[in-house]
Amino acid sequence: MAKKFKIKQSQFNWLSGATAIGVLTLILGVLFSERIWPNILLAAWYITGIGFSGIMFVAIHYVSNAGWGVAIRRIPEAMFSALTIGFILMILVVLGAHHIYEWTHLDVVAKDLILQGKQPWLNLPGFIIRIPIYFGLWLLFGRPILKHSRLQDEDGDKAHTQKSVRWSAAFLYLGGIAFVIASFDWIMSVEPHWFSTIFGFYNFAGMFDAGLAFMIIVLIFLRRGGYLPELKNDHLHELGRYLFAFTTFWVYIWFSQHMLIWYANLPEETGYYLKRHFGSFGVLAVLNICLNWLIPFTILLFRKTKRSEKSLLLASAIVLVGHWTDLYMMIFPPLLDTAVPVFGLLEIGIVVGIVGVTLWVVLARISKGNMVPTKDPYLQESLNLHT
Amino acid sequence: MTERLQVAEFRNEYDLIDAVSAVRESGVEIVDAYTPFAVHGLDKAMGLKKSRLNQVCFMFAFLGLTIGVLGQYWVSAINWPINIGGRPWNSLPAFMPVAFEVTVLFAGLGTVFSFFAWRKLKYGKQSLQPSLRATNDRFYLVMKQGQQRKSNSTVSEIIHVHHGEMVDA
Repeated sequence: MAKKFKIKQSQFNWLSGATAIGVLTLILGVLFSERIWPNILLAAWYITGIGFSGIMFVAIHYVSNAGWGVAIRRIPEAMFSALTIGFILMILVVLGAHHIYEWTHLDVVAKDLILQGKQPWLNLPGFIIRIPIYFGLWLLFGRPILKHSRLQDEDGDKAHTQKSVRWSAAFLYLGGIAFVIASFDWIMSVEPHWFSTIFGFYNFAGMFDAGLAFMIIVLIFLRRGGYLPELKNDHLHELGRYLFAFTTFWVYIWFSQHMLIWYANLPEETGYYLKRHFGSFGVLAVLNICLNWLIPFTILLFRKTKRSEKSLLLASAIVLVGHWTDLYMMIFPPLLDTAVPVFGLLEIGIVVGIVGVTLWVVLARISKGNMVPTKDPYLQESLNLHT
Repeated sequence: MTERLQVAEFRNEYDLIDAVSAVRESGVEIVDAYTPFAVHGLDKAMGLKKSRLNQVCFMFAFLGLTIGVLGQYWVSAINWPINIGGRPWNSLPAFMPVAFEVTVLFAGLGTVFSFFAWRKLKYGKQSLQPSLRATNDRFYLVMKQGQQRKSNSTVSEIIHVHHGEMVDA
């Protein structure tokens, strides 16, 4: 089997350097700028999404009895550890909740009938209590899946797979619901008057997109380093298909949300899009569609591009940038003083930090175990993959 | 003049794939392979060209999209404009779902019927099988018969090496 992965000294320097830049920006931002708070929320949601999508991917494969993904499973499993970072950042968000969430201002709520109606759910104590509940649910169902996968490497017992299937089914159900409600809680309530019932799925689509793109990039990085010699282009092909399908799913959901609100034309709903689709944010809205769907869709339309490392890397990088833009569009417009999108040193620093810390925790986790689940009953099927 | 063919029978797909590669290397032309289920990798082993059906599909999809958008535009903006909730007549978001459905419809039906026409499939067409067991538990390889006796005997040798049997069809 393949040699184990170790983070090299130079890689360690890069990753810790990027993380340090992120932390430094965070501290300076907290001291000097209001704008840091939406940035922290964005980072928290982005990283939580990466972690969540990793375990989601694994769980889908267990439940659907899919064999082909076993050889690459250690990467999504490792992505799960990003949830820790997401949790830490969410605690920071709680500290800055007054700068982000209008409904935490009790004087505003007292004058606002709509916010009073939402108060039983949208209040600070409830918000704080629900954060550990969401993460607890994901960890409660996610950790056993990882544990059984590790244990199987030692004893090769098939019972581990069967147990993981059960945990996965529970995770997909309860973890999925928790994700949808979390997206209502953390992101949708930035604009507490506005609501959209499809918002959770919209976030799920974007999150899974970004998770797949991240997975592909880590996979190709490891493959080029010679750590996954048994992977064929067929595995890339499958992941490329996944990404292709989910970028299309994303735009499908994006359009579903947009069209219903446009069609119904209710004031409290259209206000959301008035802010985002006109003026200088309108440029960003078009860019959002291009980055998240049009460009990756066009790149991945062909068989050859799904099988080539280069074009997959390009499409994945575009999707990751696109997901950031998507979240920026969700979170920032009501929180900025200006009606113009702002992108400054603060955003750059935080983005560098996100990249550094996420890659760091994921690669560190990968270096702790075997590169592939060596004794999984489906491993041979996965290695024999033909597409 | 009808071509003379020879048929080999196999008990599993792995033998079939190995035999296909070996037979092709020996220079004998393969007419077709019959299997009870889709065998992954067989197309590669037989050296089949990539199907052009996906290009047909794309063209039909594009045609469907064009018809879907232009058709609705003509109906609701040119031929019979109706004021719906004060929206502009050429409201693109409202056209999208129908345009999408028409695209899928054209792509789906167009691809299927192109395939029928291409393969000359029609209602009541008899299927040609080397044996009915090709739909159940056996794998068949149909090859052209060479001109000389010698090449035919090498073919049967290759088939025997890969645990197959020559059968009469």
